[in-house]
Amino acid sequence: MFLFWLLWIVVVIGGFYMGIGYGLQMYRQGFETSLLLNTVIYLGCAFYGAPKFLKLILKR
Amino acid sequence: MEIYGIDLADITFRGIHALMAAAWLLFDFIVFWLHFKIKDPDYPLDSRLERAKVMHGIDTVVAYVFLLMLPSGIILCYLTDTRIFTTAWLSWKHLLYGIIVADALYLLPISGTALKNLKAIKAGAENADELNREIKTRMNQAMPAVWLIWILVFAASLISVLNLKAPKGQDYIFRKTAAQAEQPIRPSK
Repeated sequence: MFLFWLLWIVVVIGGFYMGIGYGLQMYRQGFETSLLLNTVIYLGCAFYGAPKFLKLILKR
Repeated sequence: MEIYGIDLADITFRGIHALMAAAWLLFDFIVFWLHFKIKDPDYPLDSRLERAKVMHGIDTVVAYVFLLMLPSGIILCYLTDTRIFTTAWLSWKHLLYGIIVADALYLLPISGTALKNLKAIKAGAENADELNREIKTRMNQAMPAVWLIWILVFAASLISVLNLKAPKGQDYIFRKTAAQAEQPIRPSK
C-alpha cells in the first residue's frame, strides 16, 4: 500500500512540479522543444494520476 | 558537513543516485531473463511460480528505485548547483525520465498478472489454458515497454556521466567550462 501512495505522490506532485516548472520556463524564455515536451509529458502524467490519487486519499 | 575535505551530503546523494541507476539496469535485466520460463506453459508449475515470486520481489525494488530517482535527483541538483529547469542537458534527461513515468503507468495494470494467474493454476483453476495464455500475452505486451525503460535509463545515465561535476567548485569534468555547459536554454527562432 505504501508503494501505491509513493507512486501517486511522485506521479502527481512530481508531475505538477516538473510540468509547471518547465511550463513557466517556456513562458519566460519562449518556445524550446525540450521545454515543451517536458511540460506536456509531466503535466499529462500528473493529470492522468490526479483522479487515482484523489480516490486513494478519499478511500482512506 | 565535511570529513577529510569530503562533502558528505554531496558524495552520499551522488552515490545513492548512481547506485540506484545501476541497480535499475541490473534488476530490469534480471526480470527480462526470468520472464522466459514464467510464460512457458511446458515448464514445471512450481518452478514458474517460484520465478514469478522472485520477479515480483525484484519488480517491487525496481518500483522504489524508479520512484525515489526523481526526489534524489532534485536534491542532487541543489547540492551540485545545477539549475533544474534551465540547464539544457538536464532538461533532455528529465524528458527521458518523463517517458519512463508514462511507460510505468502503461505497465502498472500488467504487473502482477503472472503471479496471480500462476497461484490460481496452482490452486486448481479449471481455465488453466486461458490463464497461461493471458500470462504469455501480457508478458509479450510488457516486454517492449521494459526494454524501452532499460534503454532510456542507460541513455539518462550516459547523459549524467558526460555532465559529471567535480565536487569542489562544481565544475564540469568532461565539459570545457561551467559557463558554457550551463548556458540557459535559448528559444528557437
